[in-house]
Amino acid sequence: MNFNKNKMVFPHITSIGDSGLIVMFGEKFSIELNQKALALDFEFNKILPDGVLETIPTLVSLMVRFDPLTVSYHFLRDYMEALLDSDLNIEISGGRSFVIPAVYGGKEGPELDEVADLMQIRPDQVISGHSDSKQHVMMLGFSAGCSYCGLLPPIWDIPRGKKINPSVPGGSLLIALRQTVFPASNMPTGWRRIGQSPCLTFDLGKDPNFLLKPGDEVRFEQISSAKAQSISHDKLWETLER
Amino acid sequence: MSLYINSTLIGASVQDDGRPGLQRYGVTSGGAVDKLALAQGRVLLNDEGNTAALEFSAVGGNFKVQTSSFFVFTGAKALLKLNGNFIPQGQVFEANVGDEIEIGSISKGFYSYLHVAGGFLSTAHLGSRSTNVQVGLGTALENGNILPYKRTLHRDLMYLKSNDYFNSNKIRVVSGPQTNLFPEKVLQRFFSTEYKVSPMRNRMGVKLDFNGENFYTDAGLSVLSDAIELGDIQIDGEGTPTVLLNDRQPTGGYPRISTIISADLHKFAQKSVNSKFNFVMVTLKEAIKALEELTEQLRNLRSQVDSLQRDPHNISNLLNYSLVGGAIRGDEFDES
Repeated sequence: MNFNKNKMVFPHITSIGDSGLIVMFGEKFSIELNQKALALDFEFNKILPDGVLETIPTLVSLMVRFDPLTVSYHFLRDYMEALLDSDLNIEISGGRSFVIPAVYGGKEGPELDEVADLMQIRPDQVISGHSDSKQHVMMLGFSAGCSYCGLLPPIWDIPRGKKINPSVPGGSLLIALRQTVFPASNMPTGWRRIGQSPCLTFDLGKDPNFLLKPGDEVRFEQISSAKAQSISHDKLWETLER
Repeated sequence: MSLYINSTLIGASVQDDGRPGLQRYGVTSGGAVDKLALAQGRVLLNDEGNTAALEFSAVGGNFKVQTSSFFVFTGAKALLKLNGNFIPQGQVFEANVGDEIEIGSISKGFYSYLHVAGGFLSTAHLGSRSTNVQVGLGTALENGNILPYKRTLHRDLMYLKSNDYFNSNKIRVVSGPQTNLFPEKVLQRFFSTEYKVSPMRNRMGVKLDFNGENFYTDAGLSVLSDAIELGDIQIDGEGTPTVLLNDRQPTGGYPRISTIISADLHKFAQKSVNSKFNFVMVTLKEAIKALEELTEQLRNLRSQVDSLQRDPHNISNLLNYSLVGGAIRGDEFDES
């Protein structure tokens, strides 16, 4: 066996399984690399080569799944290289903007004070800082509709919690590493919960079933607990896009 | 218009081809773990399209037929009885209102499939009837539930002999983006180690047991979450491997040391708990060749089915004719 140990040069293209290709933009996370991955996804999806089944953008990479009996990995690798050589416009990644209501603190955000302590600011400053920040949907992962949003300013670079909460509800605002994880259904997490939105971004009864896509921009807007309870989910999605 | 579930079911769910194309939204494809066994049922019942079957793992169940139709049982080996009479696997049979279908515990392999003509018609979500309880797509089956399907008056009583592919001792893999994050010595050891399928397994993944040191990588500890492929072999924080299957999570941050080739996925998934095997690294070219062979095998299924009796209406007492000999063990047609 001979394993190639050469240092990677980015963007790096390699196969994953026998039916996948992955373009990696780097080893460490940055919003610029995320935007490159999303821009490549947007460009590549404009004209999909025959045999391509789906594309999956993640934090700093893009995976392409294909039928290897219809199109070869080598063809797609050359195709991708040509696309990467052209100037990718990272401003145009097809993103939309949403303002999403959320209740901060209290029983909806039991770890708000803990986050304020870690950030060495007051809880109300955590709320205003979070709700003033425009965040990008950097990827969807973990479970259906679960959005990884960011990046928040550097002061938000707090670690994940040590203990795992076995279940937080869909709509939770979960904070760590300058990101907001915004799940659409119950999930276990070590991230700290500072708030709760009445908006669930995955709904089997709606068409499309997912509110957010990678590349969208979101801002959370503070509402009261009473207001959140009065919000009907039926027409909520239609009112959020700006 | 349905099958009544008359026993507790464990690890059983309705599955079709799954819902590919949604992983960018956080939903993995799901679907039947053994595509070959799913395809065999469709060919035997002459069904076209994405029909759904009932997938079992480890244990079987009891069912009461509420609508007449034709059924066939494929995949892992288990005893199948209609009203107490044995029916061989891969043999299409007719069942009428009031009949009882009984499926015993799986004796060889891990996933078996009960197919009905036209497929089970449980509610589809996101374009598929495949159940994934963890993400709220479909519900777990319980005693007293009913599985809907349409009444079918005629199907040929086809039979298909299936080769035994349930105990492969070599599972082929290809390298992936994180293979090189592991030191060469760890990789050499990974491919010379004998593994055992652990009881920690479900449709999300299969944890592997082995003797010796765990497979550590310092570089792999800082992997950023990226997309997980079907068949990825993930090395967790403790250095133990888990093969990720159809209901895996869409993204993950543990390094994947390699990926099982498409042509061997069903063979791996069918391995019994405690069965042993090795991973063998192959080239992409060899993986594609193996996939071509599997695709050819699926294409040829139709020419391999035999008709026991072309016109069952001309035979009285049909079920006693040759399907129910009385002393069939259920494995007479297996290749040893």
